[in-house]
Amino acid sequence: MYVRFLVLGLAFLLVLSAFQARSQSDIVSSLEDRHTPGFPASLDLGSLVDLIKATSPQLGEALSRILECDTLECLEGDTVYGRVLGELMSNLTSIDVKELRSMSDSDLLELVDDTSLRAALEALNTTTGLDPLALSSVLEAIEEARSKGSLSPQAYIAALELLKRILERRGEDSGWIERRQVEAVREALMEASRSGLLQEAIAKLGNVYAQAQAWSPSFEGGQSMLPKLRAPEASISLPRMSVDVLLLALVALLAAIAAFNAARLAPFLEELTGRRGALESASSLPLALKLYWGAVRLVERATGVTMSNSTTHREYLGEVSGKLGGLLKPFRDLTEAYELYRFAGVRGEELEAKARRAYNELAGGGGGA
Amino acid sequence: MIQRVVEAATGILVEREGEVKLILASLLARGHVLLEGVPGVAKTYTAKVVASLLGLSFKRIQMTPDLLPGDITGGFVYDQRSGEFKLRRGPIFANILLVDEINRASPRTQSALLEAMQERQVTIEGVTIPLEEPFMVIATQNPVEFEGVFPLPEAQLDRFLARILVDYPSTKGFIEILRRADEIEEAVASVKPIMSREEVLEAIRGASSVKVEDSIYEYVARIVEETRRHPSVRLGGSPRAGIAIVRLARAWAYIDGRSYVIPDDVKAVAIPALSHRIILNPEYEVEGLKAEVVVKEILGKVPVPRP
Repeated sequence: MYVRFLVLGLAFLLVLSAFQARSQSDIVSSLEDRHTPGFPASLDLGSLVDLIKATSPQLGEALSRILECDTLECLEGDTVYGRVLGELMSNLTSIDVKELRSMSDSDLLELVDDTSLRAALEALNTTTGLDPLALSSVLEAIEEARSKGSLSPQAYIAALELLKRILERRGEDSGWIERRQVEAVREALMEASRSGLLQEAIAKLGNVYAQAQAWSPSFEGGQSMLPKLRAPEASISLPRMSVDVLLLALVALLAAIAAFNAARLAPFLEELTGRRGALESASSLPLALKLYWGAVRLVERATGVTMSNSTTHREYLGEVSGKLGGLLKPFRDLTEAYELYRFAGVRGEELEAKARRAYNELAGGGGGA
Repeated sequence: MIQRVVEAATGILVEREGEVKLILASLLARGHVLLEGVPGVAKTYTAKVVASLLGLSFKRIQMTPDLLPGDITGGFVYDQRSGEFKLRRGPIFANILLVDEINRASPRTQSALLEAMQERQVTIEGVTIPLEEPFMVIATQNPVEFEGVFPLPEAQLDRFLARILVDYPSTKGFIEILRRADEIEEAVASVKPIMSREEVLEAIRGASSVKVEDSIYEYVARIVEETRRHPSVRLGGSPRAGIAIVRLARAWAYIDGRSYVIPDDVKAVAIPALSHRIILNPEYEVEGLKAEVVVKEILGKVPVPRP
């Protein structure tokens, strides 16, 4: 049992080491490799964030904050995170929220690549009052264009930004439009994670952290809110998969397979760990048993026939009987003594004396094998 | 004494020592036996020789689809002279009952027989009559026939303590059979009992008092549990299967002249005790996998008691 735990522990350590050494880009690529038909091509962002958190807490934190944001202001941010998030989003989604928010109306309209929609937005913007029907039809047109794919995520957010400004200018509530924008950013992130853009973003992010540390005067203070910023340890600059890491991962995989097949490999593993040796040397064992297991070890060496875990004492005697020659009799006597002690509950000096005599004869070479 | 029965039986039957020992072990464990094998491999001969050597009352029923439960249990018939209904005992009132081709009987008749096997008593028109001890049914069936047969359901197979697969003899054994065919026939017809009924009952008591060390129980439990975990098994061994192994192992040790069970006894009886109680997944069955192969694999995997 403890052999199994030992191997499992070893496998766990090796897998952990391999994961530490692997770049996060490898994690992403391996996820893609493991895609199973019928299942989503990539993990949902929440699971992905959890995975990234396990290897790089700061990156995971940055991503999870994006997922938690309800407003564009939150997405944009103004701290170290803000820069990190901005970089991450522009890498992942080609959407720079900060830039969008600072754009003029005409620049936003320029981003809307659907001409009819652009015209509708322009008309709505130039109208003094707010016609709910017109607003509704523009919104429908935006959503329709997006669902058809004629609007890029960036153009969609830009169109919504313009619509939001129109509402704000007329003193109307625009929060619901902002929520749509945030949702669009999240969806764009999802899409990016599927297409592998996340890989590049994470690689860039390592530098962003390094720059952010140098750049932000409030970084020391901000450190308290960052969960252990250890940018270099993100290992992003490490080679993608060195031979050593590959070897380590392979060993870990073999160890894990071995652990799960421990029952089948038990005899082999026990040979490796010397369990049987430990058995013999265990002082707690009664003499008849100790002598028998000592004799088994001697016979194994002499004959080359090992005793597996599922082999009974009689079966083993049968297996080696043809190879023992003069040693067969003492080994048979020891087997008999073992059986009587172990299963018949026979105790006494006579049995021990018989076992001792047989063992001495066996160890001394008997009649010659 | 019981060893002499084994020796005498194996002196008559060629290469049937294992089968004879298992039949005797089942008798000592107060169980019933299902002999399974293709026609012509001495299933009936084996049963007949064992029964004759034990000096027990022996009856034989050839199962047919039109056989009725009453044909086995018997019934009350009107006696004109006394003007009363008198019990006419059926063939089940014997110490050893050989049921040839059990799967040819209708399910109704099979059920009546198997119920009597389980209860060790029969009820005829409200009157319950216990069967005389020892009572053992040795049923035979041919696994290759599919027409005109009613395969025993799993629950009824479970009533048999052991299922013994009777295989073809080796070439050497086959040649010996060819050489001694007439002699064997005569020997089977003229077998004299070696043991009396009382001696058999004494042997049954002796077998039940064979010592089983705790680690042997653990070993049996692990084997049975392993049948439930095996990927090719749909339904693994039940606690009853484990009990069957222990009882058979005790009897096996007794026949071997020992008063204690060793792991070898468990291994010797595990396949006959388990193979008819586990159901394989259909996909493995289609591939030709047999339950006895699975049990054998499990026996090769489960560690025997140590140190």
